[in-house]
Amino acid sequence: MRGIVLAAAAVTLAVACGTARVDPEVTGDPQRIVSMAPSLTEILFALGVGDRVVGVTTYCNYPPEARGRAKIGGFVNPSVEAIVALEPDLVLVSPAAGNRDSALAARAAGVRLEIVPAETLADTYDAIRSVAKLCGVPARGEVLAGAIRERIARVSARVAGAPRVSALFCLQIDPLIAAGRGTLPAELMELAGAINVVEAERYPVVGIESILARAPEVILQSRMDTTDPDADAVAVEYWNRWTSIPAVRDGRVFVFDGTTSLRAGPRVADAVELLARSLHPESST
Amino acid sequence: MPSPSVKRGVTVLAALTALLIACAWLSLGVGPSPASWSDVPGLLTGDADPVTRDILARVRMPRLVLAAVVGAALSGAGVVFQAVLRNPLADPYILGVSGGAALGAVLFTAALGTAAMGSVLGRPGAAFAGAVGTLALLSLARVRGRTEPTVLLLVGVVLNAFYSAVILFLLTAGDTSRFRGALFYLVGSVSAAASLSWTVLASVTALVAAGLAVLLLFSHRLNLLAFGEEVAGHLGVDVERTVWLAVGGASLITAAAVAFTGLVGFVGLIVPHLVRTLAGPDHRLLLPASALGGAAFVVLADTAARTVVAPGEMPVGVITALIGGPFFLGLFLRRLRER
Repeated sequence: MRGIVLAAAAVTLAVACGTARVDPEVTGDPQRIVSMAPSLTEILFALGVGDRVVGVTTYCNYPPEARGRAKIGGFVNPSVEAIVALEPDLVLVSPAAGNRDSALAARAAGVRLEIVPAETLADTYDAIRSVAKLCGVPARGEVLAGAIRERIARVSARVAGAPRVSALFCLQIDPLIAAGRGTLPAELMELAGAINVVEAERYPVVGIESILARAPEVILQSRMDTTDPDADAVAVEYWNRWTSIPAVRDGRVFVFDGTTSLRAGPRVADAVELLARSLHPESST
Repeated sequence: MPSPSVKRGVTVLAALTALLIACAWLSLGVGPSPASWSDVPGLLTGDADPVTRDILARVRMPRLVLAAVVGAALSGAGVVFQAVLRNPLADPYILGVSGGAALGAVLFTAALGTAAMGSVLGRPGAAFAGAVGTLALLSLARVRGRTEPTVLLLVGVVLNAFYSAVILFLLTAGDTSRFRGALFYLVGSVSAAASLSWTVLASVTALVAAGLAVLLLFSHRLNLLAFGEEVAGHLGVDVERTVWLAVGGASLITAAAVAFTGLVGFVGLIVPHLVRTLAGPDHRLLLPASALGGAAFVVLADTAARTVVAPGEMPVGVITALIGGPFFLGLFLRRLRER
């Protein structure tokens, strides 16, 4: 339902602002876009310009239509050759460890490259607006960013009264890697009424001892491998061993698709709603 | 054994046992959480709170056991490889035997999936096959019945690089997000200890203990091998059989250690060298003393690995390589100058 309303709004706006040009340097709207990040791919499709996307990374699995696009390689190890061969008139990249060289090489090969940071929640809003501008649909960007902001604010308001729940956002076990301070999942879970038990920055490898000592009330376990049907069971079995962790004792270990929380894209609002349901089931009616 | 050397042996073994106990006690008491030695009595009487009990008995304890077993195995194997190859630079890691074992273990898991982690002897068995395969490859480096030490080391270096590449390929194929896990295994980490059942830990410990015991029975013959194969043959040693059994035993304990921890490096090189200065060259003393010293060393190194960047942790192999790299270089340069 929400999607239909958004799409309707987007279409209305597209009609209303179809001729608007924000960036004077752009002579024509790009028609062959390559996205070098899953988050940017999601933004492009959410802005209704998915039909102009000709190349994506192998990790770009959302929306489902994105999977059908030509692949340029992984997120951190894309192929410059594959990008150039698609003859794009716009390549979007989000800076990450490992893709700098490929991005610069693509630019050196004469491709128009735009760098759009997409890491934090603030980045997400900015990225939606910049991508919208670059594609010549700036108003859609404002609408989408506004809608996401509003949905997140609504969740935050709902959980504001409830006591904050201590939680761990776990990306993988063996070794344990968790979302630390300043990361997108940490920002989103805090907005959903959690306190992150991990104080280190970025995505640290943590020992199980630290987790036992921090005693999280909820464990948010990002699905590690969507292709391995046993992966969820392995994660559940791993956590079930540690019954002294309140989250395990109380049956509050949630295995879910973590990509919505890990990608600075249009689904961050979905993520906050989902996290709030796990963290504050009592306020989520 | 004449009595002065018996006395020396007892002193050395007692001192190293004391060192191991001290390192284990230190390791049990420190960590990123406040749980400490004062909680140990409560652990024994059952009064400790569940979190503290988990931290001491189910995190730190299995971890220090695995670290000790790995240290003992790799040091013991180092002593044996050094004796058989008559080369003080031999070590299961540098020769690529550890790498072969690790590759065997990774192949086993890749073929049978994560469910295979529960199999008690499957992974060490596959690791053993990898270690033995590597030895077969190393034996090709024998030219006209002689093995040039530098050739052997070179082959080991090549094998290590190749194995690491295959392991990295298998662990990250299709999914680069597994890179960090793969890195932990390639550098060697005992962090998996807390997820292993006591049955697995006990079997690994038993395998290593049995392997070391068998090698100890051969230690007198290892002494004779030091005179050269020909002389040892004249002294009544069945050289061929001794070499194969010793190398097989050393590979078995290497495999048991590596199967669950990955490539912890340089332990088999540093420890026997340091212990030799205390215990002398007699393998009847050197082997058990190195096993004890190696256990203490890895327990200590892992204590550092999980506390220096707390609450984060690093693989213990980083610590052993940080110490072992310069040590190996110094040893190598000294040998070159002695030529």
